[in-house]
Amino acid sequence: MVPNDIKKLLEKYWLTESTLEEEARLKQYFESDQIDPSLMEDKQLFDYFKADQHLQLDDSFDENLLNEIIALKEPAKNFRLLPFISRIAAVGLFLFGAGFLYQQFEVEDTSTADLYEDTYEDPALAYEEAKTAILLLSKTLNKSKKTLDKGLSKIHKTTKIIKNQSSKIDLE
Amino acid sequence: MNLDEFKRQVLPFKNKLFRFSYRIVGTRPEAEDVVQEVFIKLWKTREELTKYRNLEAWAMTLTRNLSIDKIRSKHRKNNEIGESLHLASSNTTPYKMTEFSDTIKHIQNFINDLPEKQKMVIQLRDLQGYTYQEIADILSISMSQVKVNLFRARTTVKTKLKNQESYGA
Repeated sequence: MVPNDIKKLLEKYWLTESTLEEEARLKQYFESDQIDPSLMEDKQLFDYFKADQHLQLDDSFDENLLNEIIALKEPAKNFRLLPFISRIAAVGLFLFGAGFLYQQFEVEDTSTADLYEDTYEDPALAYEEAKTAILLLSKTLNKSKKTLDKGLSKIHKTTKIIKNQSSKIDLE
Repeated sequence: MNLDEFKRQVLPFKNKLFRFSYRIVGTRPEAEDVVQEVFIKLWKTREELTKYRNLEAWAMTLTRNLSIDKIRSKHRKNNEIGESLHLASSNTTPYKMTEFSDTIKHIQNFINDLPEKQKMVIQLRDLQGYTYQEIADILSISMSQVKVNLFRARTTVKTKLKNQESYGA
């Protein structure tokens, strides 16, 4: 004799209308050995579902997996250390550079101070020396200007030729 | 997520993942490899795991994908993963054969012979106890497809059981 509620639950089960709770109730029912012979096929199926739960991983799986994970973790730690070390190195380098530059400026300050000291005692001689230096500078500048003028006139000529050519092409 | 949390929250899925993978790849060592690979993937993305509303379902999805990759690389045939592909070999069994009746072995073969989707759906529902929505998420199919595949799978297994009984009688 099949209990009525089980009959209904089975109907729902085969129509895929049962809930997980109702299916759990069926699984529980079929654990009994005193099942109506008309439900033998259903019992066999539910016995199979129960038997499948015996398929399990053993403890060595956990051990192997955790070893793998720990092995993965190590390089990650080293990798994280690297930016930290490089930050310290960068700060060190900056301080070293700043110190060096500061020292250099101090040296330069003293050397430029020397330049402001007079080297000529006779003002006339100093004037003559300055005049010679300025003339030399002026000569060099004039020479450069001439070369620059030549270059510019060449560019000017070339531009003119190009303009003429392009206007001819436009006319054609 | 640290290692202790991982052990507490994620590792307990292992047997469900293993049974699911086993039904696809068909051998114990390969299923173990798949499950290990799944856990390593989960560990590598441990900072993002909180975004999944159902972490177990996500782990099952990864298991499904990696198991299918495994058999694809194993077979390297032109078969498409779909209704026509029969995944696990029906000859292998995780159990000691002597411990189980012939009927149970037959049912295992009936389920192994089902088309891939039906096999996965019946396994996820009747063996692993997932909701229709979870199965839909794991297999990336609609709820109605889950129900249709489950209906067909259960009906096929029942019909084969009936036939077996009538031949045996």
